[in-house]
Amino acid sequence: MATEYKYSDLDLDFTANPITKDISLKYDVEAVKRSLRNLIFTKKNERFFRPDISGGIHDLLFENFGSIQTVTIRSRIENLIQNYEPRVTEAKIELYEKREQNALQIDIYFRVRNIPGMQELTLDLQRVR
Amino acid sequence: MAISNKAAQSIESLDFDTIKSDLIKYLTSQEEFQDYNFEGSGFSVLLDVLSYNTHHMAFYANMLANESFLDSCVLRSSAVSLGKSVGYIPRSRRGSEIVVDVKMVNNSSDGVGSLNPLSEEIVSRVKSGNYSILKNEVFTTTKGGETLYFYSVNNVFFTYEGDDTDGNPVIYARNVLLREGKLNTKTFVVNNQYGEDQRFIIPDSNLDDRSVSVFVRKSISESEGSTEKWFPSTSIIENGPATKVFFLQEVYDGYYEVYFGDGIIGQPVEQGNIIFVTYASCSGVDGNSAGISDSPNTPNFTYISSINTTEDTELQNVRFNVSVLRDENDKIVTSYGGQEKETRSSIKFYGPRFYETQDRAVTTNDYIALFQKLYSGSIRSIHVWGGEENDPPEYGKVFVSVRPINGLFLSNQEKLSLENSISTERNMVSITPQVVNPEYLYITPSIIVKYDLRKSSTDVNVLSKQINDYVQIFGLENLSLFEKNFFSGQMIRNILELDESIRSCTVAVNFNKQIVPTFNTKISYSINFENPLSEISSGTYIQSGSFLTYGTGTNALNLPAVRAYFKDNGKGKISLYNNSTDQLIKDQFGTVNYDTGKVILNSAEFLLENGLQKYEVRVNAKPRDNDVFSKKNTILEMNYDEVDLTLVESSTVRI
Repeated sequence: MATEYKYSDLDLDFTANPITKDISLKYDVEAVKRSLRNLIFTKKNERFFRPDISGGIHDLLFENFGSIQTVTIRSRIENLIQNYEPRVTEAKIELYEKREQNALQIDIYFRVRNIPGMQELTLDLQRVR
Repeated sequence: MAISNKAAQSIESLDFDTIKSDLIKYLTSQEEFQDYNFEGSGFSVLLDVLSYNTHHMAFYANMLANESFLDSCVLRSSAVSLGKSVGYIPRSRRGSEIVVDVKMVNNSSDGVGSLNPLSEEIVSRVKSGNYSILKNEVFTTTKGGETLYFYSVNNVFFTYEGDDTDGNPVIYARNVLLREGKLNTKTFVVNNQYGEDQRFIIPDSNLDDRSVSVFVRKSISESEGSTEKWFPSTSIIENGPATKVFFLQEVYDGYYEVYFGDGIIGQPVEQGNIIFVTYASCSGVDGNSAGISDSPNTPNFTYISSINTTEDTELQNVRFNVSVLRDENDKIVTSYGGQEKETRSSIKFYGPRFYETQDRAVTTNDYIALFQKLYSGSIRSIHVWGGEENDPPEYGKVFVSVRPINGLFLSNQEKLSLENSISTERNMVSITPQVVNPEYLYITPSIIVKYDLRKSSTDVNVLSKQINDYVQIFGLENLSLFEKNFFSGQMIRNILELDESIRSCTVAVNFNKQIVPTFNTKISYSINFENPLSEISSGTYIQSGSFLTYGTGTNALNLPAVRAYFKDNGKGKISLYNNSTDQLIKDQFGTVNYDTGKVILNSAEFLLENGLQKYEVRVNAKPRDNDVFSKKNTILEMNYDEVDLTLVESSTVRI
């Protein structure tokens, strides 16, 4: 059963599978997307002994948003994928300012090795209060 | 999750990365989770937590094991604690000591530029023993702009020493030993509510453990006069249930704790007792060398006496002049012996050795261990031997020779202090320890190096500097301590390895010793090279430098002072010669034994030269082979200023 999938990972939401009551898993594209999300939202020094693994998004929290920040975020995510997510190829990152909602939308278009088709991951960064 | 039994299950790893890679290796044998290898995966985060936890526990267990043994502990507090189990109390910070004379003077002017003499009443009171410098009275000085506090270690009475040339009385307290440190008092009230958990901790890590005094008053309602002094415990054998003693120990955070007996060994303190702990907080090594510019016009120390606090009108103008003691050469003996707290490595080294000695000085190694413990940080090298090994033997004595960290010799005061520290309680009855100066045998090597610059890119000046530097290093690393010998072969081997251009090297050695004369007194001198001697020139094995002594003349009671030297005749006889004319002054001046290197001068009289307080007389000789051995009390020292280095280009050498 498990061998049907190329990739399989724990779901860090730790929800239970409604049928088996076991912990639910993420497979293939979903696993890769979750991995990307984890990486981008990781803060500097969050991982034990690996201060370098970080999306660097939190560092920009109080910066005025502008073209410099757009370039910075894009390059940080590109580096992150290049260094820590070898399953992702042909990644294209697009950022959309949503000034009205005080939010930033990050769209990542990419392919996953050994899985056909273009994939899309959308992340919304939004003020919480 | 199906795990294969063949999966790697390593348990040897201690660090985070290896633990994680072992876990990853372990997971390769299952198929349910595949993403453990990707840093962004949820499983990787889980592995991080597992690895961190394992690493943390491994570190903790390792640290726990390390800190449990004196051999492996890395924290000073652990070394202190483990030292206690072998009865070793690490040395606290130590305040430096200095000896001063305190002169009592009348500070009121007589109106014509001088001070009034002390009154007859004061002289009479001094004669009756009314005035003294009490223990723990405060003296102050400055060093490098900082104020240093000293306190008197003992009570010293002022004594009337007669009148001076003007007929005024001279009153002194002589040889007052001062110790650096600022005196403080910490007060505790015994409260049984805390039971055994009540601790009397002095929150000062600069405390000098020699300064601690404990006074106990029964309760707060008792008068001040009922306060009793309790004494430091020196041996549990002497402590009965009613013995008023206290114990002192260093505790975890570097502070000191006073604790008391349990009613079996030493008297316990009781509910409501008030404990006063007086102690000195000292500056350690920073307190050394105070008083260096002391003179009658610019006294370095000031003393405000308790005598002045009385309202007696007789004492209104009485003041005190403090002068630092000087040695026999009229040199100021500045404060010395200040030390920092014993280091962790010192505790680890001396703890077990001290345990071997059982705090008793019986064997020579016991003396070495005890002195090193008491004065570690001040002693560079130490040698101990029994008086029976002396020539002639001195039974009942143990000789301790110490080379201090700074300089070549200890001052007389320092020697006395070392002797007292061991002779009062620790050494065998009827054995007297005596601290003596080491003897220095100065070695002057003559080095001939043949080089070929075609073998190297070095130039001759660089080569010369390289060799001179090496000689310095050789002297520092291989000589300068007791029982360190000079082997020319070792020097040659290392010089040959300095540069590829060096093709050969020879080392010849001369050595010399210094006679420290007792001037204007006719006495015998004995110096021992302790190595067989060889000729330095035809028929001469030893020759001295020049010195002043009496020449020849017809009137034996009025002989002229002349510059002279002595040398031997190649047959063991030493004669005295005029330094300018080489004329014989005295035929039988002494003897020399070429096999043992022992030189004896019979009835030599050295005279002081004008303008000199003292000088030393150098005696030159040459060892029979080019290795020099240090025996007994001798330290070999390189004569750096006179090293003779000759560089010969090998292309000019004809073979």
